Amino acid sequence: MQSDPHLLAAIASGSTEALGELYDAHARVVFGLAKRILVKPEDAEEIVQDVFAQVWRDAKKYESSRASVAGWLVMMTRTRAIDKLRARKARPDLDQANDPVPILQASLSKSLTPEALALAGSDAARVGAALDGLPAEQRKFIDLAYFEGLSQSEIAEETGTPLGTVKTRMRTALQTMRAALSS
Amino acid sequence: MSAHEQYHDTMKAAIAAYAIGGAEALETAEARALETHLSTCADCRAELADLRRVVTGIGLNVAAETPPAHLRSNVLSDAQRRANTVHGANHVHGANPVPRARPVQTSIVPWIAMAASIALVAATGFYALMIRQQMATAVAGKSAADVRVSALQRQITGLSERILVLSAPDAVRIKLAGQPDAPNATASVVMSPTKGMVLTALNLPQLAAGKIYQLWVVTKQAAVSIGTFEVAADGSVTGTMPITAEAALNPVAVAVTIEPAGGVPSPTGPKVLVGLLAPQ
Repeated sequence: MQSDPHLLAAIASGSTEALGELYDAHARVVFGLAKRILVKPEDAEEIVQDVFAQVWRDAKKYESSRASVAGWLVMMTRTRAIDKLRARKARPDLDQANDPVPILQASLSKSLTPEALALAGSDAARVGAALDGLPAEQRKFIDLAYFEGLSQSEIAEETGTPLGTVKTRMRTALQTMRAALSS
Repeated sequence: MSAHEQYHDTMKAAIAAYAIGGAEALETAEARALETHLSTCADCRAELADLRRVVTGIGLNVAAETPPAHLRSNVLSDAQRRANTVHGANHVHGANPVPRARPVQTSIVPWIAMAASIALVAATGFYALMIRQQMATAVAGKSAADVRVSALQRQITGLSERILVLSAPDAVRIKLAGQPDAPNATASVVMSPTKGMVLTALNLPQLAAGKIYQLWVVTKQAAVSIGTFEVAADGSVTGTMPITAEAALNPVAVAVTIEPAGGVPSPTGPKVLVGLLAPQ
């Protein structure tokens, strides 16, 4: 099995086998995140397809100094999923009309996934532990910003919290997790 | 504190939201001011880089989920198609270079030539516009059709999986009854130890944020998780899930509980549906 940067180099030179290998390594994380944001499995599937199409197109542009491959995929997934979420909010009627019966999805507990095991000792594991330890209100602000794509002003409005307080608590939350990274 | 330090602190307060959602997380003027500040402040750039690592960690901590099997082949065939298109386009270009436009003959009467050119430009412009509109309509029609085809493919895959379970010779049907937390809920499960399970449920209550339904097969040894699911706006759900060897061994009951989002390894929340298997 090749490392992620090697796979991306192979993808950049046109290897669909390498794309398949990268998919096998990361599709579960991409699908999990897209589904966490969009809820509907079929919307999440569309994001997975778009993200890997972008990988195929932009593999040459990947810079390992800026982010890990998993980090790059997560960033693309979140951006695309939030864009779709916003588009969906802009046309709720159409969306409701097409609302299908949700299909059951097999999902394991986070603590049992191979990805979670692989993360042990990494940045993500430390962030995860710090995230779980955040006070409920700070966690809520982070969730609204990250998973629902709300701006600071929208969070203030949605939660009935003064804007200044939202800013301070979000910053405190991220600083707590940042401190966990260097601990 | 100097005015500069105060400004620096104001900008720092905006970095967290910017690290999560980029410029869209801030008001336009605030985002512009922060971006200008970042171009001159190494301290804030370093903080932003760190916070972006944190934000990536948030995404990586979401419970991973296995996407449907057909998605992998869709991704790969899509890539293959793009590769072929690029290759094909290069090939055509190489073999048949774009013909050079013939030089326009100058007329003996220059104004006639000019009038003709204007007419030609106008006609060409109109023609190009018409083609563009037709192309846009065709492209929009094609992507709508693609979406419909992939929705139909998903439905067909779902139906075939269901038929496989329902027609399995070893399939048994279990009726599930609503419990005090969901008294109106009803459900039935068809379980084939070799082909999987089909769950159909009605009138399940909508769950609070952060909660999810989880389906279990209770065996003589333990409660085995089959998977988590959400319900439609009317409280209904139907779908097929794979069954594990552990769940197929001596099952005695099937149950649905309410659990934290992402599911749990063993049941912790209230039971909303329970059905017992007929003794073997």
